[in-house]
Amino acid sequence: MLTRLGRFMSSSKTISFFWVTHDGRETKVEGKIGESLLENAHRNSIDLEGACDGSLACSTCHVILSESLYDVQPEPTADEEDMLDLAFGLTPTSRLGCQIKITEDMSNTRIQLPKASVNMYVDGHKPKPH
Amino acid sequence: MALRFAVVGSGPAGFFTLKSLIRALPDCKVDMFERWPVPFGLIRYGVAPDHGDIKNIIKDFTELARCDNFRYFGNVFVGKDIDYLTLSQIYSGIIYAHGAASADKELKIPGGEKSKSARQIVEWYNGMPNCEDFDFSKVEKVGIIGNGNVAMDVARVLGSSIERLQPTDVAERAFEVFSKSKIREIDIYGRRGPVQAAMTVKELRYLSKVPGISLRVLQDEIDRGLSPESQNEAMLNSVQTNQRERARKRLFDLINSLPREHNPNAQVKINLRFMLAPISYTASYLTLARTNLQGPELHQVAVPSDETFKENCDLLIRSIGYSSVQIDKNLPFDQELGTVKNLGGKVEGNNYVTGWARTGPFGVIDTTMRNVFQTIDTLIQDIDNNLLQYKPDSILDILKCRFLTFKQWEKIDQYELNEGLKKGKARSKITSVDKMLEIGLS
Ligand SMILES: Cc1cc2nc3c(=O)[nH]c(=O)nc-3n(C[C@H](O)[C@H](O)[C@H](O)COP(=O)(O)OP(=O)(O)OC[C@H]3O[C@@H](n4cnc5c(N)ncnc54)[C@H](O)[C@@H]3O)c2cc1C
Ligand code: FES
Repeated sequence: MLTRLGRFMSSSKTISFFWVTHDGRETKVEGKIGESLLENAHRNSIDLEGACDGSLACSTCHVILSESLYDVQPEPTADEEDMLDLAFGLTPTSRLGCQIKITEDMSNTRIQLPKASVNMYVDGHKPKPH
Repeated sequence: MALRFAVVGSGPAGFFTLKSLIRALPDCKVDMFERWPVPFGLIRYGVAPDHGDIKNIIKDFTELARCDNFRYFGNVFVGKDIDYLTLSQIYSGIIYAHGAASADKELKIPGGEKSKSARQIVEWYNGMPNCEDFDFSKVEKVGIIGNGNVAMDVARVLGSSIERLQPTDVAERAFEVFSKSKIREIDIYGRRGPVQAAMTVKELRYLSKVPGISLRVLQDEIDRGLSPESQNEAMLNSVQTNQRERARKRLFDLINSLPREHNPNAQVKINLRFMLAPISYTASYLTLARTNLQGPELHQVAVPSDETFKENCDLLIRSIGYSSVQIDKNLPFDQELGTVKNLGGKVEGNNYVTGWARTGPFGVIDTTMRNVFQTIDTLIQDIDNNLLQYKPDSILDILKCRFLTFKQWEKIDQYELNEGLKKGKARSKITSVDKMLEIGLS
């Protein structure tokens, strides 16, 4: 529901920002104003889960914002706070990616995936042949 | 020859394992074995019918399952139809993700054997095959021992109006029984106080909002639980500094904000009780003792006092924990912890374990997912160290039992969805293995 709504509301205007994975690697992406961080992650093949499809039932979409970005976000609802209580490695600037809409404030900011949450290996890792 | 993995179990741990393997090793092959013809483990047979939102995860798992690297073997019981030693010979690596939902703890009080387990009730209302039937036509008052999320689910489902349950995927056999239910009141008993309550704030909030249900707490029981140590545990008088304290405080605040009196118009009254230990049970009433908390902060235990009393209780449900069983005599198993023995997810040789089979029955799907990531990291390190071998495809020559492919499950899925549509339900679950096989293999 929420994801669909997000898609509906996203406009053609874009900004760019960075996803930062657990190991500090940065991926520069284009964000559409109005889409959710979860949708953006999926569009850009960032390893952010969204197990319940944005219905505030899972907390697998946990992201960490910069302090300044966190401060300009609308307050999380009680339902989001309830899920954040269960999020792995919660920080003071944690939010759920399915609830955060991309705005112009996000231009050039860094969105961090929680440290211990993502696979420690690198994507597309090729094992040595035997 | 390829890197071939066997995944045992098709719950969240099994499917997150599939996802992680394909992501890390795009050329590997994955075979998944599931004891039931139908997949998804506790998403199908645990998660409550009125928790449709978390079941969205099935869409993602289904998409994953359609990839070419993957084969599903439904109706294959590992430990019976194929064993541990065979799997470890024919696969490069085996990841055990068979969960911990096959047994439950006993209620060790006189008359405790007359209680029903929450697990059985959950499996029954979720349509698991081969379940005991229940009948609530003579039950007015229910007692539930334990106040974790499963207790919340059971209280909410038993307390819901049939109008509320009708559109869900609740099993029809349960729906029939619910439509004749006379349940009017449910007591949920916790041995300790509101600060030590086991449910998550999300589930309690959900329960508190169900139309027709009135949820209340009793002031004297809240007060009794607020020892100085408890107050410190949730930092009730100062600022919370970590996630545990934050969660405790938010849960306590919600409990404390619940009404002390019932809404007189409610159809079902639920009492969230604290500081009470069950002492004995007869078919119509439960004897309880008020408890006192003893011990240091975070390690307080509930010690029963001499103050005892009786509560009417036509049906006693124990919700004091799921547990696991050893599925194969050669799979190293810690009987005391009820989990597969492992170090960082590695069992021995080319065998790994993840999800509830590794951790025991704790946490939510997010917890299970993080646990999978860790086990797969361990496995990838072993690949880097040349510990896993490439293998030919040999399962089809070895497996002698009838099994279902994912496509065949999708036939069952379609059937259940169509039947559901006719009845105005999210899904109409088939509750017989024979019928599942009949439709799947037709
Ligand atoms: C009643 C209940 C309600 C819950 N509700 C929620 C909720 O609303 N939200 C949430 O986030 N979490 C919920 N959880 C927790 C969630 O279900 C678990 O975190 C998760 O299911 C654990 O995944 P798993 O794959 O390890 O185990 P399981 O889901 O149990 O999967 C194990 C699978 O292995 C199969 N299996 C077992 N033995 C064998 C064998 N010998 N051979 C082959 N296959 C085998 C089983 O049939 C099963 O399909 C709930 C749990 C319960 C018990
Ligand atoms: S996707 Fe489930 S809470 Fe965000």
